[in-house]
Amino acid sequence: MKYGFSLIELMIATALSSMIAALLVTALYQGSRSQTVIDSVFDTSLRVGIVNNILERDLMGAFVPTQARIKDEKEDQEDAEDKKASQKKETDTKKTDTKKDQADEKQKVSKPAEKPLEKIFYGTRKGENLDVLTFITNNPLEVYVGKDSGVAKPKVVRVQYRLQLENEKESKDTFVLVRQESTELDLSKFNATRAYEVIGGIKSCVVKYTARMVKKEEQKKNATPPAGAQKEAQQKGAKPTADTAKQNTPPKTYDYKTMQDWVSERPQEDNKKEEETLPRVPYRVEIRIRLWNKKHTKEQEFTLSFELPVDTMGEQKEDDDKQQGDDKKSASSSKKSGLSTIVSTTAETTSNKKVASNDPHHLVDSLTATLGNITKALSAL
Amino acid sequence: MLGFTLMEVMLAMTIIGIILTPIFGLHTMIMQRMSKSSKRLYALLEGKALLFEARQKQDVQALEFTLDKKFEESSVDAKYTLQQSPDPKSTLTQFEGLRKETIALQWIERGNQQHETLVAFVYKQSEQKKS
Repeated sequence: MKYGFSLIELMIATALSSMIAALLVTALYQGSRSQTVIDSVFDTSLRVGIVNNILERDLMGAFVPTQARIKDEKEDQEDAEDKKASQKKETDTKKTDTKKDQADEKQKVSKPAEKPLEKIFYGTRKGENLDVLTFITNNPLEVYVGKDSGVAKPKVVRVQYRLQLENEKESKDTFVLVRQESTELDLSKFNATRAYEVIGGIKSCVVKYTARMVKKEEQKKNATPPAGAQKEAQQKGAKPTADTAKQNTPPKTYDYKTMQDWVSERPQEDNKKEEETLPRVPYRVEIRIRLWNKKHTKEQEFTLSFELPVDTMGEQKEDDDKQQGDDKKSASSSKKSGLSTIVSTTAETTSNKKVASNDPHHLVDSLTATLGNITKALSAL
Repeated sequence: MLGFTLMEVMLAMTIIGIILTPIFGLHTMIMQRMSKSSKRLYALLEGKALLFEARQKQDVQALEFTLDKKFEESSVDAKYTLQQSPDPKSTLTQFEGLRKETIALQWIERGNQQHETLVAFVYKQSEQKKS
């Protein structure tokens, strides 16, 4: 009787067990490796998703608030003219004004004009990377409620993004994107706001802003319609209205300009140099963000693009100015002709200015103004 | 006789192999899916960038427009197409002036061609209609 294993049996058993062990070790190694890869991919995707989501939410709500509207020279002149006209009227009708009223007026004049909000959309860089990006948005992340419960504050906030070094001692090429949000719209008072980290592990973050402007040639064309067309219209006896003007104007074509910094309030000299007026809010923001993986061994670049609702305030203002200019011209020509023209021009101006807005209050105002003009004309006759 | 015979051990090994094979397969599949989703995210972000770029490059009143771009780093081929109208079967055809923007993204992942499509709608009124 033989006891125990033979040499061949032992050899085979050892070979088999080593094979099993090798398989298990490989599986274990692969498992741990895949775990890190999966973690890294998830982490990067998550970070990109977070930054894309928050930035999109904020940027889509970027706008120019009314407190930030800058009055240009024309508007100032118009205001001054209006003031003068009103003062003249007052002096004609009420020559015996008291001294108190004069003192009040002086006080009003001496009051400093409210400074419009600045840096509505402001983005600077440090080297190639983003330094500060701040703007006013109507999509806040937080819900603002006043001291009295149930009194919600308006959803207009200033948001600021900054790129900070993650850990100054350890690494000099890893940044953190930090976000601040507050109902304080003035940037000088904003810096005390608490900052929250959006994402970390950023190697670089380059932001490009694209401005969209109506082409200058097109603007000129729109401003001066062809003389032939004007004559034809006059011969036909058609009155120029806002609708016909809109139909006649050719479609707008745009120029685009990409830059790495954005300042919403540029000095007028700069604008003159560039021979174009840049809008206060960019049309498109492109962010090229390069993220480290978890172990800081690999990096991956992502492009985040956002198309912002366009700031059409400038274009609208130009259109309004043009329309007002036309109205003034027509009004001055009507003075020379008789009563019938006075009635027609006043009706036209009111229709151009106010009836277009389809507001019943404006309609009533315009009608009363027209009636006032008619009575004045009749009394003069 | 004590111990296992060679046949018994071989059988045991086969059973272990049968159990381990799908586990390894699953692991490989997870890795592939992860890689695919990562690349997909990348491609979609690039596609979104191309959408805005194409909108910028085309004429305001253009009813048809195409733009091709190859993203070198990710080796993603993207094609933007502005179509004159959406699918005729779609209920969206009742909205006149509605145009369909399609971004077809293609890339090769481990020898297999992957593709993804982004769709957006934009309202454009033709010049004839305006007049």
